[in-house]
Formats: sequence, C-alpha cells, structure tokens
Amino acid sequence: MLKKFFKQNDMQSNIIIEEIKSLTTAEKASMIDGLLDLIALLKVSNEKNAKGDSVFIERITEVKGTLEGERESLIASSENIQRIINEAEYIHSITSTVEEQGKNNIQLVTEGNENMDKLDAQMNYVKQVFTNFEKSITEVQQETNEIITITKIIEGIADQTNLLALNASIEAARAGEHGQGFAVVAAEVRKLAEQSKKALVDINKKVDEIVDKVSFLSADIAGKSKEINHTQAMTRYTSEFFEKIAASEKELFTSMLGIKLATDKTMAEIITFRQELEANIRSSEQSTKRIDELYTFSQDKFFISTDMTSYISQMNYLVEAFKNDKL
Amino acid sequence: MELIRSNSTTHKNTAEAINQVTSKLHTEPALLLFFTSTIHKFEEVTALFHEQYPNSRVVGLTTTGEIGPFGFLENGLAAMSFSKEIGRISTVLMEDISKYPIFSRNDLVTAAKNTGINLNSQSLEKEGLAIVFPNGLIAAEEKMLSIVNSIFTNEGFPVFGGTAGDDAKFIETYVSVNGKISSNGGVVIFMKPSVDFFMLKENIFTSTGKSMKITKVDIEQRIVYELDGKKATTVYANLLGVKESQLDQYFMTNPIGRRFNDEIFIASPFQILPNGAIQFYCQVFQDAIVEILEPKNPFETLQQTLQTFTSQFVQLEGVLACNCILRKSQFQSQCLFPDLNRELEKLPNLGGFCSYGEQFNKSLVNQTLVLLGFGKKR
Repeated sequence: MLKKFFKQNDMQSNIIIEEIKSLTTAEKASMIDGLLDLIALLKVSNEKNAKGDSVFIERITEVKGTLEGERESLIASSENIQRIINEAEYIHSITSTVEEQGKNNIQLVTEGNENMDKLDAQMNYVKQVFTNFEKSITEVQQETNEIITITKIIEGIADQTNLLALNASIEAARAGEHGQGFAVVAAEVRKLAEQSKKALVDINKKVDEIVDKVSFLSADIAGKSKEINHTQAMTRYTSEFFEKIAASEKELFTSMLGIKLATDKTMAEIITFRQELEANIRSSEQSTKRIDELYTFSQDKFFISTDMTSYISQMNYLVEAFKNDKL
Repeated sequence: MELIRSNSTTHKNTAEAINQVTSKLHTEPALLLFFTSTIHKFEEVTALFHEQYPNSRVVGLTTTGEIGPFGFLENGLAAMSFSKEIGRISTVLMEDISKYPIFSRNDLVTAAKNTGINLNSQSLEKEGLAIVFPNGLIAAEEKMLSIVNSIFTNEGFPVFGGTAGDDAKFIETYVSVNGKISSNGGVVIFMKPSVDFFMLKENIFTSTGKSMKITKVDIEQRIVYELDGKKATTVYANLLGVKESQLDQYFMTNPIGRRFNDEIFIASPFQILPNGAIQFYCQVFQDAIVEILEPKNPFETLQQTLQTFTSQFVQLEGVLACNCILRKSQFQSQCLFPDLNRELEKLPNLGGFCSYGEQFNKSLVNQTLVLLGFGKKR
C-alpha cells in the first residue's frame, strides 16, 4: 500500500495511518533511517545542483561578456566599414563628376579644334582677298604710271603750245596793226597752255598722292598678310595643342573610368563584407538572446533550488515529527 | 464607486485610530488590509477590525513603519479597503510556515480554485494573483513561497508581498486573517481581479563591480561562513575597503546582489555571527558569485520608478506598497522622507508597510520596494 501511495501520490490518509500503526518498532526505525538517509542524499544532490547552477551562471556570464566584447568589436568594425563605404561613395561621386567633366572637356576640345580649322579656312580666304587686293593695287600703280606718262606728254604739248603762242605773238607784233587780233589769240592760247600746265601740276600732285597712298596701302596689306600668316601659324600650333589636350583628356577619362571601376569593385566587396559582418552581428545578437534564455533558465533553476531547499527542510521536520510521534 | 480606498493615522489610542482610519474606507468591503505599528496591541486591532467588518475578509499584520495616502509614517496605523467590485477574493492562513507549510497546501488549492483560478493554465499571469504576508524572524518566506508556487502546474503565477515586522525590535511579528492571529504563519490572499494589475520591483542599488564567491554556506540558515575561501567578514570588509570591526555599519548601504543577466537580486546581511560568518535576510547559495552593491540616488530612482509604474495605467485605482526596513533606515538617516513622501502621495489610494523582506513572484528579495497597482492598463 505504501508503494501505491508513493506511486500514485494518493492521499488515502486513513489507510496510510493504519499501515503506519501496524509497523513494528524496528520497521518504523528502519523507515525513519531510510527517509533520513534519503533526505541527506537529497540535500547533498540539491547542494551539488545549486553549486552546478552557480558555476553554470558564472560560465554564461563569462561567455556573455566575451560575446558582448566581440559584438562591440563587430559593431565598431561595421561602423568603420560604413565610414569606408561613405568615403568610397564620395570617391565614386567625384570620379563620376570628373568622368562627366572629362567627356565635356573632350567635346569642348573637339569643338575648339573644329573652330580652329574654320578660323584657318577663314584666314586663307582673307589671305586670298588680300592677294587679290594687292594685285589690283599693282594694276592701279601701273595705270597711275601711265597717267604720269600721259601728263608728261600733255606737259610737252603745253610747253610747245606756249612756245608756239609766244612765236605767234612775236609774229603778230611784226605784222603791226594787222597782227593785233592774232596777238590777242596767241596770248589767249598761251594763257590756255599755261593753264594746262598748271592743271597738269595739280594732276601730277594728285597722282603722286595716289601713288603714295597706294604704296602705303600695298605695304600695309603686305604687313597684314604677314600677320595673317603668323596668326595662321599660331592657329595651327594651337590646334596641335588642342589635339594634345584631347588626347590627354581621353587618357584622363580612361584613367578615371579605371578608378571608377576599381572603386565600384572595392565598394561591392566592402558591401559584401559589411553584409557578412552584419550577419555576424545578427548571429551574435541571436547568441545573446540564447544566453538571455539561459539566464532565464538558470534563474528558474535557482528558484527550483530554493524550492528544493524548502522542501528538504520541511521533509526533515516531518521525519523528525514522525520519529518523535508528535509535530 | 472607488474600487480601492486607503487611509492612515498616527493616533495613539487604538480604538480612536481605527475609527479615524475606517472613516474613509468602504463600509462593507470584500477585503480589508491593515498594517499596524506595535504601539497598538495586535490582538486588540485585529478584534476591532474584525468586529467592524464581520462580512469582509480582514487581513492584518504588524509592521516596522506604515505607508498611507501621504507616504511613510511611524508608529501608525494604515488600512486599505477593496470593494466587492474588485473581483473574487479568498484568504488562507498558513500555519507554522517555518516547519510545515505543506500542511496548508490543500487549503491553498481549494482557495485558489474557489477564486476561479485555473491552476493548470498555460498563461497563469492572466489568472489572477496572490498577495502574501509571511511572518518575519522565522526564516520561512522561501518555504511559504515554495508551497504557494507548488500548487500551479506551470510557472508564472504573479505573487506579491511583504514580510511582517515588529518596529525593528526583532522579537516577534504577527499576522491575522478574519480575527485569527499567528506569529509563525503567513497569509495568502488569492485575487481574480475584475481590473488590470501591475507589479513593479524597485532597485536603488547598483553594482560596485567588486565580486566575491560564496564558498561555504548554510543555505537554510542563510549563513555565509566563507567568501573566496576565507572568513566571510574579512573578505567582505577588504573588498569594501573598511575595517572588519566596522563592517556591519556598511550592511545597509552595501548589501550583496546575485546577478541574473541584467537583473540583480539583493540579499541583505542581517548580522555578523561571533565566528566571522554573516547571516542574511534571504537564502544565498554555494559557489554563487555575488557583487557588492552601492546605493543610487533614492529620490531620483523613486521618481523614475513611479513614472514607469504610473505610465502603465490609464486609470490607477490604488497601490499596495512594501518597502524594506533597511531602505527605511537609510531614508531616515538621510532625512529623505519629506521628499519621498511628496512623490508617493501622488499615487491614488496608497497603502502598505515597511517589511522584513519582499516577495516578488518566486523570489524573496531584500532592500527593495515592491508596488502593486490596480486599474485600467494602457
């Protein structure tokens, strides 16, 4: 029946009391001894258990400490990586800007070069105009010389006319009264010859002025032509520079593209690394959560140990009461 | 209709004190709690309350300082009444909790069931709560708690309480249920409240970072003989940096704590024994690592605690508080009562007492303030 009691924990008090009453003194003594031994064993086991719990908490506290240290270090690394990513993104944005600027520069240089070619063509045209103009001036000079020759002939005619008019005046004077009318005509002719000569002087003067001006113009055009040649040479020289700049810009553009690609690759690798790091942090957080669960578990165990201690103490009092046949 | 009312007095005449206190309580509450100083005869107080409330459950105990609507008081009488609308209530007086609390187990099971609590529930925290008032000075709180908790199949039933005191005379404490008095028993009140409730434990201590290992202990007697393999008092004093002969002066401000993760369970040294061993107010375990604690600012901590506590509720009906005797001594020595009371009086229908130990769920803790509030939670 006692077996049944312990097995089923059935509170059939009356039957148990009867069973206890029917025990012999020796049986009761051995039961009490057995119970006391069991209580002592329970106490030792409970103490060992509590001791084990203490060690368990000590260890998980150590593990948590280490884990927290690692987690802090992981978070610090993650923050450092974020800073590197920020820097890399900044470099990426700079290289993108430079790359874009490089493209614009190449475009500008190409346009500049094209404009240089147009300028050169325009200068060739101006040069041609100047050449034509120079040719015209030469023709004007030749025609002016011809005018000078003609004026000299006219001057000779005027001189001869004057001489003829003088001779006519003399002959008219000899003819006396009959030559008076002729003398007037001769005087008028002479006057005309002198006027012609005077007019020729004016013409010569004007022609000289024209010759001077044309000569000056010719010299000026020659000078300007030289300047155009010089400018054209400079333009070609500049054009060569533009080509060099274009080549250099292309090289810079290629290098920037290289930097951008390398930065992008590095950034992709860093981001992957950060993702791995974050996974580690999450995993570490999971571990911390599990540790917290272990703490809760150990706290529960601590309370169980407290309960066990209370139960063992109460069992001691009960066995003592059983032994003494009074509570 | 107020669900909870509280009142207190420092009137020296017992009958007059009871008249004063009860004038503001419910006339026929479901439950009446009284907390009395030893300046009143406990038998007389118990009888008078029982006489005045024959149809109510009346639970009382001796204290070492009371808590009323205006905070802490000395040599007084405080009481709380819970109207019938608060929910279902039953009470059990567990006899001889230091030796045979097991004998009350069946009564506990019956009372809990009668209150409508499902002992096999998977979510016990929704089933109700138990308020416990064990007698002090008999080292029986853990035994009582072990039996109370044993009636539930699963873990997690809310248990709240405080150990009776005797105005720091350390001779004998008393509890009573419906006129029946006990100096070696404990009271259990099961409640299935119709409103929400919330429990909070305040810790005004923080770790100094100095730790010791308990290497020789008598768990049941709560005596630590050795720490770190040496005499307990020597190690404790050395770590604190004080003379061994003066160690007991630091017990109040530097108790020890056992850490479970971020939570510290405080164990307060009670006295130094002639052989250099230290006896505690609660059980301590072999090979446990304990940390020496130091106090935080009590006023700021209380402000934060009350903020956390009240923020749980949209409507707070009343608050039961149990405050450790050692905290009370500390507050007294630092003249903190006026400041603390200014904060405490903000709580509606506050009642309670200063205790020789605090019970919070499965644990007996020391140097703690535990608060239990009823009302509508957020």
